[in-house]
Amino acid sequence: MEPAAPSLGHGAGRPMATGPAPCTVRSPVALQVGDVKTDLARPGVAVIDVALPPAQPLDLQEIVFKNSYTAFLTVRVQRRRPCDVGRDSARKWVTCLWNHCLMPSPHTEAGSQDYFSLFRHQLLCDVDQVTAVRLILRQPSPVWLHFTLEELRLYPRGQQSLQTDFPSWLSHLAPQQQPENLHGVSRLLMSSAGAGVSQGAVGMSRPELECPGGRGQQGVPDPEKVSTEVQQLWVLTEMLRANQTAARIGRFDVSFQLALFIAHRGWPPALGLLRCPACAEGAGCILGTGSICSHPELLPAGHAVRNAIKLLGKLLRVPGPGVLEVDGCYDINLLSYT
Amino acid sequence: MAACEKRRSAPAPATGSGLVEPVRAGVGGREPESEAEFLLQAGVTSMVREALLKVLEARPEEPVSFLASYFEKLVLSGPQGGAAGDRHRQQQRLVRALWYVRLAHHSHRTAFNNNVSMAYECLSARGRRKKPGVNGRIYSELLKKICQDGEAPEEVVSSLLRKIQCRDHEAVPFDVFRYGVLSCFVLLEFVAKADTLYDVLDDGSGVADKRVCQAVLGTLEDALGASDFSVPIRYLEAGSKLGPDCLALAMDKALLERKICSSMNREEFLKKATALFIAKVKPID
Repeated sequence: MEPAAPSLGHGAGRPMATGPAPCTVRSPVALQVGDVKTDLARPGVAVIDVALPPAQPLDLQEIVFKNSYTAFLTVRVQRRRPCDVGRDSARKWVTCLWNHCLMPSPHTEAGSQDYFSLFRHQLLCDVDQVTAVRLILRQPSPVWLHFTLEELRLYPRGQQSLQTDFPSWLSHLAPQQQPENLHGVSRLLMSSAGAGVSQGAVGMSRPELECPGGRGQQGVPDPEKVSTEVQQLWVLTEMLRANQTAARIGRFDVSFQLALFIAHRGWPPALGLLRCPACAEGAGCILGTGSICSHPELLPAGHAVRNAIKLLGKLLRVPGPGVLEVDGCYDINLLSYT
Repeated sequence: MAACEKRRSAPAPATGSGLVEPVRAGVGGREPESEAEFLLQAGVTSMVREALLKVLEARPEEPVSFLASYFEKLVLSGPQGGAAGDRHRQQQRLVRALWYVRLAHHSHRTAFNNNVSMAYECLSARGRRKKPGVNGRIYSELLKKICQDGEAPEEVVSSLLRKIQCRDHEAVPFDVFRYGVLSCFVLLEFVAKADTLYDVLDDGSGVADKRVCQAVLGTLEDALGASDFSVPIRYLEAGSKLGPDCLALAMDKALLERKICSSMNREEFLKKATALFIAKVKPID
């Protein structure tokens, strides 16, 4: 396999340049018991080491590679603690991806030559200040003679191979492993409860078992069923959201601005009492006497205010006193009649 | 078997022309007319066709009782109500409208819309003096009636109604009317579904763990609040969030929290779940 680090000077010279981090990818080393040449048994594990320039620890963002018949991948990184730079002992190896499945069934082709992208948020631990990366490849199936990873590239933080904002909910590797255990646990718990066997070691660490009330045995309710029901609730809500109408009842909401307008123009108190629709039966707030409607939540919606002002202009010419009720129905009628 | 015999006996007189004449003379009496003409004149053809259409639209589980109630309603809403008072007539219209909107489930989109528009027409018919149209009072009354017969808690219903009700004097446009009616029906179904969800969560013990309930509702809220409305990718996002894996994780996480183990009763759960729904209902303005 050729080392996929052709851009040594290119990436280092310009910090904002897009491209993989400079690194040296060593060719895979098979873990073989016995003599490599003569032994017929094929190894199931290989290791690829990636060396990074020692002076530039890498804040890893993304690992991209093309699979070539590797079934499971474990990634370990060597990190340097920022607090104690300079000491060799400060470099620690940590596992940031554990037996990640690249081929769902190792004996068949599926996934064998796919491109993979492992993002920072999919890894088990922080991958800052990385000085070396080790990829451990496993292929339990004897069907494939060779397995490796090709076109391996490491991208530093701030740079990505393709899309800039890849939604994190679409790719969750690490969490995916947990529910499986969880299913296992709940299934085990259920089966043990059903068989009348006391749940021993399986549920020891689960705090709900300590709960009084006796419902601890099942642990988590069946996620499948819960999911079905919750999804239906979601669909119902979404359906209603999709059915929203733009239609309005046309409430003549006397707005704060309108009140100010009236106050400014000096609405003659004798001419009319404008009843605010928000005060239920019109008993409350009387506009026009200089007082301001106390309903700031009824904010103006463009045309409503314009109409109101137009209406007021017409009404101001009306001689004599009168009580004007302004609200939904009448508002529309008045406008259409005048 | 009886039905088979009936069916066989029906065409028999039609083919044997000798038998038909006396029969018709005995029933129809005055003027000679064919069966088809009679049916047409009596309005039976259109009535039966209408009934069949309603059955096809609604696809009820029990067509016989559906048809029975349909014809019963037809009789009730017939001309005999004419002499009654204004108030009584309005009540009748309300009952009729209620019946219309309940004919088809809201998932049968076209049928439901048809029925809602029938109900709207039915409600908007007024006396001679008044102009036609549905006012806020009768609209709100209809909504209340729709909500009454579900198992939705009083509190939940009133909080929905507060959002979609109109004031008594307001003229209600059809779109608003439709949205209001639909929201009520969807709320009822939502409550029923939430109830089933509670059954799943309590695992048959009658009380569900508060932490689990909160985790599930939190996940739902999260999915509902996801990104903005128009983006189709939102559906994928919600699907991923509400998948068994994510839910299991959320529930497990909730259970691992070292909190005092308390339970959430059914009413509280329903209230919290419906609050999520009602928050998404668009208020009328």
